Formats: sequence, C-alpha cells, structure tokens
Amino acid sequence: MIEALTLDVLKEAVTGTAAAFRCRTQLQPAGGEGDKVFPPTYAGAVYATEMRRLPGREEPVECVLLDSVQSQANRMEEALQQAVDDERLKIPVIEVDFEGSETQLLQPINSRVTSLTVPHRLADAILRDSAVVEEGENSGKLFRDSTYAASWRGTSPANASPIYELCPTALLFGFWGSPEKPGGLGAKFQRCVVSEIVGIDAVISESRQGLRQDPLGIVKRAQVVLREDGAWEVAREEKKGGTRPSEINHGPILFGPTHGGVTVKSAEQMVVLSLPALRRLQFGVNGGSPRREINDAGRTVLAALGLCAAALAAEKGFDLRSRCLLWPTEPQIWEILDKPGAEPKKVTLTSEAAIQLLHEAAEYAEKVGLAWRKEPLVLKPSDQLMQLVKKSQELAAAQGAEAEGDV
Amino acid sequence: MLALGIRYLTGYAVATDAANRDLPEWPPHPARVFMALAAAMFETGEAQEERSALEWLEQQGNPFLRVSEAEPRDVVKHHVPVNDSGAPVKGKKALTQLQSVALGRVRQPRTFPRVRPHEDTVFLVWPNAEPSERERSALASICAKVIRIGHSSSLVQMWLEQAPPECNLEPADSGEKRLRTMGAGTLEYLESMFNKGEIEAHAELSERINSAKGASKRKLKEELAERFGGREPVSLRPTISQWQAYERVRPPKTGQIVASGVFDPELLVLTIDEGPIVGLETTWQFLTAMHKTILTTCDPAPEWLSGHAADGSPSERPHVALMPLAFVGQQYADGHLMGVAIAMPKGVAARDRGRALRGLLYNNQGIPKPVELKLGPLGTWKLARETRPSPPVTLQGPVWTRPSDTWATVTPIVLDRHPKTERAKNRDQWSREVAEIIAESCERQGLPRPEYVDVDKTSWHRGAPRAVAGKSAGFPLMPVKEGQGIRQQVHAWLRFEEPVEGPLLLGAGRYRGYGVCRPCKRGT
Repeated sequence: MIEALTLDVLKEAVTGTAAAFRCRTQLQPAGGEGDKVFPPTYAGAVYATEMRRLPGREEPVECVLLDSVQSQANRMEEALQQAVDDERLKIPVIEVDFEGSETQLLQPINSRVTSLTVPHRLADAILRDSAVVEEGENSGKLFRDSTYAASWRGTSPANASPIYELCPTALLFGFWGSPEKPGGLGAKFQRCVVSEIVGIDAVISESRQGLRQDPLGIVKRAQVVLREDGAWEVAREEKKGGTRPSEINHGPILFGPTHGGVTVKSAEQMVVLSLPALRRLQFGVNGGSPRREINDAGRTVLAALGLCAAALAAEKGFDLRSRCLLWPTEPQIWEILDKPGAEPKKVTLTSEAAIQLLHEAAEYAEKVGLAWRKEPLVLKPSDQLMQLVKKSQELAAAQGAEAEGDV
Repeated sequence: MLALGIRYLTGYAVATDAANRDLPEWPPHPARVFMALAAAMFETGEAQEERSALEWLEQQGNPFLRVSEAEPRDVVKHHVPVNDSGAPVKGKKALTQLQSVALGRVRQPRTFPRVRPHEDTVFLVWPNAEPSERERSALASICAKVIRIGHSSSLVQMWLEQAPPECNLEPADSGEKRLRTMGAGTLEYLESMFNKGEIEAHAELSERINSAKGASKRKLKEELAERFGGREPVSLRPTISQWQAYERVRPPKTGQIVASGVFDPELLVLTIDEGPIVGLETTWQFLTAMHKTILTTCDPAPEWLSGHAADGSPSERPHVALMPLAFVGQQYADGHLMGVAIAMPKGVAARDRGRALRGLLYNNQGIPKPVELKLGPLGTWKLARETRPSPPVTLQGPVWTRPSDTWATVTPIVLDRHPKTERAKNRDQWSREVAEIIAESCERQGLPRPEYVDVDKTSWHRGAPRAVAGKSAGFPLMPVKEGQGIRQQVHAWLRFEEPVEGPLLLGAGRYRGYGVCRPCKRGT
C-alpha cells in the first residue's frame, strides 16, 4: 500500500540527497480509448512529433506533444489562482485591479491579472507599468519605484527572501528580470518544476477541407454590394463593386484545410520537481545571513507549493483545448528519486492533502522567521497602460486583432 | 578512474546544437557538462576547493562516454510573449490576447530542440584520472548542485559514479561524432565571459551614485566613466571552439567470431545535403567525382586510399571502396541516392585514417566542412558527414554491415571473368558458372564460400535498378579501358552457412559502387 506524503517525508527529501519528486500519470481521451484528440499546432500548422522506444515493441512508435512545458506551467499557475479565488489556498499574489479606472474601456478586463496569470510573473511588464499605494502613503507610485521593487531589485538565488515574501510562485516556476528591465542584468531564477503531456503511439489523421453548403441554396454567382455602414444589397447585375455572398456569410463557404487530429494508445503526463533547484535557493531574514534551518524551511514550503500546483491542476482536469479532453486512468503517484539505480519511494498526495501540507510548511517557516505576505498586494494599472489598453480595444474593434502566435 | 553520471529526470535532453540552432545536441558534449559544473560552482559561492577540482578536471583530457541513441522531437516554433514591452498594440494593430488575461502582447518565435534518449542516463569517464580524495569530494559536491544541462527544462541529477558501465564512445582521430570538449584554461575563460566582477562593480558604483549628492555624486560619475568608458559591462555567451572526434567503441569479441571480408565494418557515412534527386544509375559519375575529391584533399594519398602503388600501377592490396547508399528495400523505395559510405580496408590505424581524410572533412580550423562535388551536367553536390542521432535507415552504417547469413545485391556484381557458357545457349549452365565466379569472389576477400548463390537480372531489393543496361532504365555497364571487353553484370542473392559481417562488396567494380550487397531475407 502506498502511503500518503507527510511533512516529515517531504522535509527529509528536501534536506537530504533526493534529486526529485516525479509523477507519471497515464491518461486517456475522455471519449474512451482510441478516440481522436487534437494536439496543439505550431508555426507552419504542424504537430510536434517524436519517435519513442517502448518496452516490448521492436520499432519505435510515433508520439505527439499534447501540452508543452510552458502550457503546463500556465495551467498549474491557473489552478493555484483558482484555489486562491475559492479561498482554499493562501499564498502571496500580486494583483492588478483594472476596476475603477477613469479610463473607460470598450470591454472591461474581467480576467484576473495577477502574478500567476501574467506571462513573466513578478518581472512582467504589466506589473512594471502598474502603480501601488504603499502603507502610510496617500498616492500611488509605479511598482518599479516602490519599496517592494527595491526589496527584490538585487535578489539572486543566494538571497531569495524578498521574492519568497512577495511572490513565491515566481521562485517555483522561474523568472528573469528586474523591476526596471526585462531580462538583462536582473534576477534570474531557474524553474524548479517541469511538466509535459505526450500522446503515445499516435496515428495522425490527414488534414481535411470541405465546403459548407448553404441551407438556402444561395449560389456564389449571386453577388452582393457592401456598403460603408456594413449593410448590403443584392447587386442588380454582375458589375464592378459586387462581391460573392460568402463575404457576408451566405452561400457555400470553403473551409480548411483543417487538421484531422490524432488517435493515441494513451497519453502520459510527466511532472518533475527538482530538489537541486530548490536547494540552490537561500533565505536570509532581517538582513542576516541565510541559516540552515531557515533555508530548509523555505525550500520545504516551495516543494509543497510545487506538489500542490500539480495536484490542483490535475484536480481541475485535463481539458487542454477544444476536442482534447483527457482523463487520468490512475491517481497521481509521486516517486522520490534518490540514489541512482535504487527503487524510488512512492507516495500519494490528494489536492486537499497538498493544500494542508503547504499551509503546515508555511506555518513552520514563519515560526523560524521566514514569513510571506498574507494578503494580496493590489496594484492599479498606470494611466499610460490604461490608455494603451483602450487603444488596443478600439483598434481590435475597428480592424480585427492581428493574428500572431500559435494556432 | 573518474566517472560522472547524469540522469535526465524528465526523460528528455533539451539542448541546442552549437553549430545549428534548429537541431538538438546529442550526446551532451563534455564541454556543456563542464559548463554546467562551472555554473553550479560559480552560482553557489565559488568554494576554493571546488574551483581547484574543476581546474584539475579540465586538464584530464577528453572523457569516454557511455550514452544511448536518442530520438529527436520535431523542432517547432513556439511563439512566446515578450517582456520588453507590455503594450497590447503594435503600431496601429491590436495584438493577439494572451491566453490567461485579456491583454495583447508581442510574441517572438522560439525553438526548444530536444531528444528522448533510449536510456535516460549518461556517463562521462576518465579511465586514467586519479583524483585525490579532496578533488573527488569537491566534484561530488558540485555534481549534487547541478540542476540542468542545456535549457532550463532539461532537469538532471548528477553524481560521481563508482562503477560506471562500459563506455561506447571514445575520443579518436576521426569518428562519426564531433563533440566540444574542455582543456586547460576553460574555467578561466568561462569566468571571463561571465564577467561577474565587472558587472557587480558597475552595479555597486551605480547604486552609490543614485544615493549620492552634489560633488560626491559628480566624482562617482567620473569614476564610473573612467573605469567603464561609458558602457555597462555585460555577460557574454561563451563559445567553446575545442572539438574532439569520437567514434564507437567496438564491443569485445565474445566467444563467437563472425566472418568478415577485407573491409572494416565501421563505415564513414556522408549524406547528400544538396544536389538533384537521382537514382543509383548515377553511381559511377557520383563515385568517380567523390574519389577524385578525396585524392585532391589528400596529397600524396597512401596506397590504401588511392588504390595505386608508388609506381602508379593498380594496387594489389585492398584499398578504400566507395558505396552508394540508396533508398531500397522498403515498400515505396525508389532507389534514389541518399549518400555514400567510405569503406576502409582492415588494418589501417585510426590515426592514419584520420590524417588522410582530415582535409576532406575539416577546414584548417578543424571545423567540419561540406564536401563539394562537381558533376558537370548533374550540377554541384554538397555532402556532409552523417552525425544525426537518428539518421534515416539508409544512412545508418550497421544497416549495411550487420552480420547476416543472407545477402543480396543492391548494385550488380561485375563478374571478375567471363563465363565460358553463353547465357542464351544454356541458361542453367551459365547460372551455375556465374554462381561459381561469385563464390570465388567471396573467397578471394577472405569470406567463407557461400553455400548457395542465386543470380538474376532483377535485384531482390525493391527499388534497385535491374542489371540490364538500357536507354531509359537499368544499371549502366561498368566503363572499361580502351581495348577491354565489356564485363557482364548480374544481381545475386547469397546464403552463407554462418552469418558474415559486412560490408559485402563483390566483383570487379567493388571499389567504385558495383557489387554492393545488403542483408536480405528472401521474400522480404
């Protein structure tokens, strides 16, 4: 019987010689084995495939990437955010509150803009271009000029306490930057957790294209004339200025080619939490040098945070994208990888237990002097940022957004 | 002996080839591993004993490796959001929104080349190194601190291994792989590239300027300008330009000895990178140009390379043979040329091979260079040494040399002598005679006599041209010197009593692409 992970076992792994917590979970399409799933497509409208050798199979089999390292990290952060919003989890978060701004937007920003949802975490430009009202002050100043920024400006893995206090998830998922500049000379923190989902033994369906038939039988020769105000009228005869009815979504419409998806024998999620990466972090308090007890406590908290993120993401489910819903065929089981070649110890961890573990670890860390913020740090977007957002929405409404990036 | 073990914790190695950013690097270059050790040392306090241990390590020469083959993942472009600007517009266009928040952001394409090794553990071994206890302890300490080798997602566990397995790659004068390695001074070079001291000094001085006022501020500014010349010091990406060839370690012979001919089973494979798509019928022109290029780049060429004795007469000893590598045998095989293999005669020391072919494969700085062939109407072709971790089957040397008891020709065997019987008059007798000629050809090369030989005009390998030269199809007859008669050529299928190891190159044209055989089970 596999035991549940306890705080003592977690501490022992973090402070000892173990190299990683690793979890391999087998998944199947929600529609059942053999059902089609749709992987992400990349520039050139291609899937990312690879060959993999499987035990018992003479030839390697084709596999396909179903969710990348970057995407999995985003999902774990979103799961943490969800748990914070649901008040199940208490961790430091920096929020940017777009409500109440004097700049009127066409569409309010309803999505949460926090250090968990912006792409570059603590160093993200959105936080950089937002303002904070510090304690004891009446007016706000740019985040980059605040005492918060000053606290983490000179940080490094040898001095990670300011970031632990302000935004511990940045230490877990990694980031690079400074309060003023992106990248460059700023703080550089390596990611500690890596996750990916790969479909195994994939058969890739061919691309399809087709024709959407018009239920009213409108033919493409029946031209229309578009007016400036968006209205249209039937062209009296084929003449200049007339256009096909498909321009106004009538008549037959050619679509595709679209990808046909893949069928896979199974899918595998692999999550790895690196303990050497956590051990690189040191935590001095009150201006003093880092002490072993405090370092161990801080690293244990971050390990618990990583396991919690993975557990919560799994709890949220594996709805990766349209027509790509996966389902685990087994519970999450973590291996503690230690001596090479030795059989790893296995433990289980439910999402509730993971939250409990994290809170216990954080309490202990606070007792030894390493504390983090209890309440979210709320920022307001600067006037310039709001103006840019407003302009962006107006342009998008008038012209349509420029399609850049992944499909 | 010193051995370092590396376990790739996610099962993947994510690292970009130093020479081509669209390719993954595999196996991990010793220099990359050393850089990971150096980074761990520099980033965790630079303990003196650790620094000393790395300075010792960099002088231990090139390690042996134990590493498996690996399967690469397609290199695709990920569009990642930038951070130099958070603006949701670019010019007059609104940008695509982020997935997590309803705000646009510029994205830049990035690639993350990676491979999945068949075995997730790699070993670097210095068999003759004798580290002191202090050095061993310091290296073990550094290894435990290494987080990744390559990209930040390429998480590893590293340790000092007491009993490493047998190595399968060894440093050589020439070999199928070339890896970056380190030497004396590498650690110092890495430190100078990182430039930590100057960067920290600049940051500290800038901080003092920010909090200073009046005259003292002015003075500090002058000091900054004088020391740094108005420029902010930066870290530079190190470029290790020391390369070492590696070749496979031959497995020790186990009790059973496999028969083989006069050629070494380790083939040097070159891939056609640029050139028209042509079939095996172009073999003669292709390999003649290749032979000429080899001799041009190695002057004077030794007898085992040129095929000529010192007096210019044809050599009577085995010499280098060129094998056309074409897509044959598979369901949709069409016989198009994909590369060439250089088969060395046995008994030539690796050092001599390396010296002779260096000019063909590397420039004066030791950097690999393409081999350019000018083939007149067929244009200019470019070939490169095959070094991919998982090349196409046709370009894998063992496919052409692995021990097998049955073999079949891909290119026809040119008979060493004319059969006395005319084929038209007595086909059976002619076939028996031809089979005997082929059997003798095997014996002359030190191979066992095949227990059965079948001959035909059609190859047993799908996609290979027929042995009948015609205007529009078929393998051309081997050119002969003026006054010599045309030699007959046939396809053959051979069965030996015991497996024999290749390459199997038979008949009169064996040095120039004729008589090339490949393992073949009948009916496949």
